[in-house]
Amino acid sequence: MRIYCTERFKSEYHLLIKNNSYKSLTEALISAFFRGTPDQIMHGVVIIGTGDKKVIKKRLSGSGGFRTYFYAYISGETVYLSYVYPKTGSLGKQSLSPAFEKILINETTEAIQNNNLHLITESSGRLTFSKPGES
Amino acid sequence: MVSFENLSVDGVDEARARLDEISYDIRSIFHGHEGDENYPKYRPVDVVEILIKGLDAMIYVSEELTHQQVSEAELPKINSMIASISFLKKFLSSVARKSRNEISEEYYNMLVGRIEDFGEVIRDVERYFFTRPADKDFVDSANRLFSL
Repeated sequence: MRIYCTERFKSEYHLLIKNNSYKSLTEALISAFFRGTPDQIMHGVVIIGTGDKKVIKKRLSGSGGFRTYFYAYISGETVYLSYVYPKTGSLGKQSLSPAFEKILINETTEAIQNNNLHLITESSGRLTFSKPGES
Repeated sequence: MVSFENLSVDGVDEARARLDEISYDIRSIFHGHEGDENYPKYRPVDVVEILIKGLDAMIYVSEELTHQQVSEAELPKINSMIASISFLKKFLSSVARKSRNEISEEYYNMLVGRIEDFGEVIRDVERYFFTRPADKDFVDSANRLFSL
C-alpha cells in the first residue's frame, strides 16, 4: 500500500506533534496505515463514494483520539491522506463542516492532478515525508 | 457479548442482524434473557466494561455499513436502523449518568467517550446515506476526484 498526503496533511501533522498532548499521533498513524491488512487500513466511515474509490474518515487510537480523512483508491492500492485532527485538547475539534470537507476533497483532487503530493514512509517508528522524484 | 474483531458484515441485512444481536446482548445485562431467572447480576464496573465492548462493536458495524452496496429500496431499512441505534445511544447516556457515582472517574470518562464516538458515527451514517447525496456541490467535487 502506498501512502501519500497533501501539503495540508503534512502541515497539520507537524503542528500537532509539536504539542506534547498529541505525541501519540505518529504511533496512531503508523498503527492505522502501516500495519495490518488493506481491509483494516480501509476501515472507517465512508464520507462519499462506493466501490474502489471512497473518501473515508477513520478513527485513530491513542489518548484523546484523532480523526483522519483520506481518499482510498483501493484497486490502485493507494491512500491519499488529506487531513488529521484531534478530538480533544487545545487543538481539538468535534467535527468538520460539510464546507470544509468539500475543501479537503478539492485540495486532494488538485494535489493529485498537479502531482503535488508527499510520499510517507515509516521506519523505526518514525514517519518520513518526501516528494516523489526528489532525492 | 459479540467481539467486534470477529464481526463480518456483508450487506445491509447482515449489518442489521449484527446491530440487533449486540443491542440484545446489552439489553440482557439489565433485564436478563427471556425466561432466564438466574441471569448474572453484574457490578456497576462490570456493566461499564460490557457496555464499552458493546459500543466498540456497534461503532465498528455502523462504520462497515457505509461500505455496503445499498440500493434505494433499502434506504428505509437504513432509516430504521439509525432510529434504533439512536434510541440505544440515548438509553446508554442515561445509564452513564446514573452510574456516575458508582464507578471511578476513569471508567466514567471511558464510557462517556465511547458514547460520544457512537453518536458521532450515527451522525456520519445519517449524512452518508441521506444528507450528502442531496448536496450537489459536494457530489460534484467528489466526482472530480473519482474521475482522476
